[in-house]
Amino acid sequence: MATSCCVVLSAALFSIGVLGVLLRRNAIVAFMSIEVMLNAANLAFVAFGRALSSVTGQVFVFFVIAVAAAEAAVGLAIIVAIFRRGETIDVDDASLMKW
Amino acid sequence: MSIELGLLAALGALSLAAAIGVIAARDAFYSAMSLLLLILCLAAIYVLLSAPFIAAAQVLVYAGAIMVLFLFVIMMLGPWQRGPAGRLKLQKPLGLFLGLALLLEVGLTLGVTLMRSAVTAPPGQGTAPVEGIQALGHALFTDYLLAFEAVSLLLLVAVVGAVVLGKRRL
Repeated sequence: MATSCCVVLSAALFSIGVLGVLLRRNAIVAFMSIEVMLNAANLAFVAFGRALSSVTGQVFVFFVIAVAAAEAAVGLAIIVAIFRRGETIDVDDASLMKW
Repeated sequence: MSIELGLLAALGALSLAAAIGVIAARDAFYSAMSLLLLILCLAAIYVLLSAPFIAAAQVLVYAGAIMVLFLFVIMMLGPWQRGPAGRLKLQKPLGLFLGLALLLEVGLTLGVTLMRSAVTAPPGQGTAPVEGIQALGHALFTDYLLAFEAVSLLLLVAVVGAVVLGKRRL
């Protein structure tokens, strides 16, 4: 019962994250929506790991948290570099490679 | 059992509200605060799901390091975050449609699966707790050693990349 609730919550959080990435034009808020999606996946991992009495779920969450930290560092460095170039962090303005 | 489910329901509702706060807040700083609330709610849910080490790692790494990074950048980029509105006319309806389509798809898949599994309940569903940090450490350093070393390499590459990207003159 708890597993089903947690999996449904994970699906809802993931969908909310997808909505945030699609709708917001501020690059930092879009990036935070990606973090929401990663957290939703973590929740699903932990819920299923507990349901199957396996430690593999928690091992995967460990790796996902490490990868999210690395991604946050590099992504924010990229956002700062783009801001230094054009004084804007609107994702619609980063259109230099648009055809 | 009902106290656990009640706590889970309350924390789930709070985390849903926090996630909606992340995507809907007017200012980026409020989005960051909502994301912090979401991370702490999820850490509490991990404790309820018998994963105390993951809950501690979540608070230390996500709330303690990643959110601090976000807040640094938000504070640094300050008043230039509100761009001109309404440039792409089709973005809002299309984005809403696609996001809700995803929600519908996932909801339908989950509903069908849960309906089917309610008939044949799996034995011992979530009642046997894992032995805790010792089992996690053992699995991490024996079965998943290659992935562990690869993630160490990934962190090194990320640090080097962030330093290079942060330089003013390459």
